[in-house]
Amino acid sequence: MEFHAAQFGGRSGVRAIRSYEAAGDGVRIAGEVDIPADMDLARREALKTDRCTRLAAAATRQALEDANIADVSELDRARVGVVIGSGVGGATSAEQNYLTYFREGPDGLRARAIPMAMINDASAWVAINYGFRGPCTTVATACASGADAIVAGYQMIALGEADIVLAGGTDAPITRTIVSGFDKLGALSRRNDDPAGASRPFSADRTGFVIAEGSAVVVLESEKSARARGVRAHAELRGFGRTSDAHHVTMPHPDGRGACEAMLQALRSADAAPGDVRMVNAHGTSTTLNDAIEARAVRAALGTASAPVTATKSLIGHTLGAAGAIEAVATVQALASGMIPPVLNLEDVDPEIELDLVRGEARKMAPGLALSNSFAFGGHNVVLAFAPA
Amino acid sequence: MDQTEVFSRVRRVLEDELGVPGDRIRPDANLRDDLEMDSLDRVEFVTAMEGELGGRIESSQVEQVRTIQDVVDAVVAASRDQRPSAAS
Repeated sequence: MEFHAAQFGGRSGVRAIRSYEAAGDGVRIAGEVDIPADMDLARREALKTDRCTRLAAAATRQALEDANIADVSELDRARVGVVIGSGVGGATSAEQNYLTYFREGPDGLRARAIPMAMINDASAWVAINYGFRGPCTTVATACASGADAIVAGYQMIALGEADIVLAGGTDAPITRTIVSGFDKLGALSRRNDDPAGASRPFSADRTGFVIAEGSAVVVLESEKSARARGVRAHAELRGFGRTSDAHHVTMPHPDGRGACEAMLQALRSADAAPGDVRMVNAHGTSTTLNDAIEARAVRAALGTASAPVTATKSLIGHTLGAAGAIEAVATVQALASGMIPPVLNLEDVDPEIELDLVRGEARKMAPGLALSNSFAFGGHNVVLAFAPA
Repeated sequence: MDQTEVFSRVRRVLEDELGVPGDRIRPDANLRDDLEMDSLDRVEFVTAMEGELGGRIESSQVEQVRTIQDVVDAVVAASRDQRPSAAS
């Protein structure tokens, strides 16, 4: 609930980088997480677990508590699946491995060099530690991974592979090479002297995204399973849309056609019309290109039916493979509370962006459909459509 | 190196680098059963001890190791073997 309160309090999670000494680098700010001690792994376990998995472990613990699953042994664990997406996986460990190898040779590598760096480690960790023996997989579609994982989890349940799925995303990309690599692409904001103001989706003076770490995991469950456990869902995943731009590895298609088509598909699969949409949680990265093209795509998809638009990344930056899952949580929280949090740092809207942006104050939300957009390097577009439970 | 010095260095590695709680580090503690070390933990332990001692530990030296005392004995024996004969 702290995340929910922070969104409405306009509290930014961006700060000067503490994960490593960034003085002298072009980008010296990021969204970093202080994992609360009561959610973190014990020191011995933490020493052999990459931060990417540690974040997912904390999110999983919260998700299980929130879903009223105090004792996993009470579940039929052969029917519980896991799918946690990630953009870069165990990046801290990978970077350390290369550094060690090239400095010390092969003997310096630790035994866990590979498992700590592998991208499926978070999913595997959750399955191993909780004994979930159903399907366990990962998806890696860069910044759409978290949303893609939720679709994958939905499909596991819809196709009868599982009754419950722990689905989400995780990334811990605050490492020298990853941050510098994104900076080299010109994707990152260098507003180093104003961390809280650096992530400014749809603002006229936006200068790029703020890279961030984080994780979100949700408990997806069939209606039948939830009924049998006597729990009430926060929301229903009513539909989704997925497309590829099939255009360019980093640039969105100039017309936003893939993004638009994904939103339309999400509406079709939810058996809904543009007029049913009560909120859009935009991908809203704060890069010049993404926000302009996404705005065009939203207008093209919704037509004259206009819906309030918010952007979680204005508060926490861009958590890459976790973003789609974190934003799904924010979207579900908005649905459940009937309030849409405002976009932070949006004093001066880009005049080219013609959206009904939620600014300054939170806005009441009428019951209906909420979309959560995720678009990624590689041209992956994933749109989730949530409805009240 | 004598037994006491080696034990204190083994303890430091286990506590600081592998995060094993200090109260579980006793000479008779079994690596697998008492310290719950799996095969990867054993390799990480050996790599960390190599860093601590500044030399390579051959896998044949640690294959038979069961307890912390076995580790201490192996390290003491290895350090004795490596000592130049003129100095002994």
